[in-house]
Amino acid sequence: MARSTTMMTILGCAALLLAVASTSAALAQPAKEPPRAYQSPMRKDCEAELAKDKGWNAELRDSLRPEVHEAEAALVTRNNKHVVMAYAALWILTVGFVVLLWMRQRRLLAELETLEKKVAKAAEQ
Amino acid sequence: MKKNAFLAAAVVCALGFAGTLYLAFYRAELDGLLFFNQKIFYYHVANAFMLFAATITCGVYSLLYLRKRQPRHDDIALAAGELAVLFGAVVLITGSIWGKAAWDKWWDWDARLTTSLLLWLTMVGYVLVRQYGGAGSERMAGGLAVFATVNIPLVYFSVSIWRTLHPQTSVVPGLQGGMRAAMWSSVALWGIFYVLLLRLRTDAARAERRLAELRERALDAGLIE
Amino acid sequence: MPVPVVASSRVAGIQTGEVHFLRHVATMAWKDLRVELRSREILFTMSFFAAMVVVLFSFAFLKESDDGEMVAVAEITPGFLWVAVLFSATLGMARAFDRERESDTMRGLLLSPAPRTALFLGKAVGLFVMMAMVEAVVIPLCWFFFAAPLFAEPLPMLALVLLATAGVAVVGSVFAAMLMRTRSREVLLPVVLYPILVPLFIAAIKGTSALLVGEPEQAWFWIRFLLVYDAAFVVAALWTFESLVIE
Repeated sequence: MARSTTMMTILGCAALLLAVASTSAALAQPAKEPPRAYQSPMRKDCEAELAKDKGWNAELRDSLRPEVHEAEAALVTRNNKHVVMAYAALWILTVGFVVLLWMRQRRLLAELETLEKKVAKAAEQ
Repeated sequence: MKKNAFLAAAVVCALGFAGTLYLAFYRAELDGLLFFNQKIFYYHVANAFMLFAATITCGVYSLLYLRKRQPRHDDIALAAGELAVLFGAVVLITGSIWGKAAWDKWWDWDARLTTSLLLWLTMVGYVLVRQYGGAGSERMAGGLAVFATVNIPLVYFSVSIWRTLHPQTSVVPGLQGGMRAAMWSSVALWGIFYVLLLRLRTDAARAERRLAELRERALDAGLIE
Repeated sequence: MPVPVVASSRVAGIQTGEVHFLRHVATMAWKDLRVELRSREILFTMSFFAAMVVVLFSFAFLKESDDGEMVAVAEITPGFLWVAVLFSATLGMARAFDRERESDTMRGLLLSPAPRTALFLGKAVGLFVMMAMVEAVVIPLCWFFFAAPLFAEPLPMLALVLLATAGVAVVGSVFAAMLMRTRSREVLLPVVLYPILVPLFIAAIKGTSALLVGEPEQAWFWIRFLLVYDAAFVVAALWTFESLVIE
């Protein structure tokens, strides 16, 4: 009985380690590329207008700074904050339950031992 | 459940956890709307299935116990009830986090989440009655479990209709390929895990009961005081 | 307390069984009501409590509109009404079974020749009547305070109220009886009762709301839903009541 419990504990821990390892490995993986963007037929006209209106040109350049775009895109595509929170909650609750089970088991075994001792003592008398 | 079957199932579970996470993170396609955060979905849905499975198990075995008074039925009902609370908590928390990622709101009164909330609350009541109900609490909690199980379709139906006046926000799209494999394998995995946990908790409940009986008999026989 | 078996009822032949059963139910319910009507304790306290809940909610949820009037939107008034009814019903059912426990009459009832299911139905009918009397106070109160046209469609309103009350009475009786001898029964009764009552609550509120905005078809839908709900839980109660009250 004790051996199967040990085996199960080892198996359980192995499973947990594997699971945690997979989750963290997966989170380190970069996100896949989004599909190809749309090309507008009005490009030439717009560029001609932009060349004429310098103010507009300057404003557009400002808002189109590549870093701004990249930052926003990264925020959306690489945001794994919520996944981490969700899986963390899931593992904490599940492991917590298993730990509670284990503690209950220990308490039962301790009570059993006390009872056995008392009965043995009384039987001797 | 024989020991070998249990060990075999435990091994399958262990491999299954790694396997499903691999499927979910490496093989399932990246969702076009939510990108990475959609990955929460796989274990969330699996746990939701198990919440319902545990509640129905609890209700069925409670009814059996109320009719036949076999203590082993009550042990299973107790274990299933506690597991329903566990799975329900996981569903609600992961669902809420997913809601935050998808709709930027922690709670949305979505039909399915609300149904799960009510079911979870009922099962928390079940556990509370068993803890604090005093003598005869197995029967009382059993009655509650039966009512809770009968209530499942009624709750789902009424909450869904309650929600049709608001925009539909539930997102269970037609899944293709990698996503579907990841989801259904997760459901299967958590099914096996549920059975394992049920077995463990039922054994503990039975041990507690027999220990209490043993203590009573020792007291009666005057072996201890 | 036990109903004396009248010899002439045997003449009725096949229908004796049902007649006896209904008579047991009626006797049981009438016993409760007679005791209650003598002191009127539960009735008065329930009604006053319900009225206080309505008033408290008014302070919480009403606000001044542009004309300086205090308004409740149509969607809120049903909430006031049904929450008040639910809370006072919880008190009433707890108190009703407390009375049995205090005077230790439950054992006598269980020993009587009346079948357990008749006992249970009698209790449920008694609770139903008491709740109806409280609603007769609370509904006009809401009509008065909130200018809500609750009596615009009397027939669906009546059906809705009666079915919802029946549902609460049936489920409440089971749980109140079940928890009768428990130490923490005051707090456990709402804990176990309210989640089970949620579909009924939704139906009652949405139905009343539909009647207030003048959509009776919606209300009839919820009335049909309540019928299904009541039927399902009467069955569940009959399955389980027997085994829940063996004291």
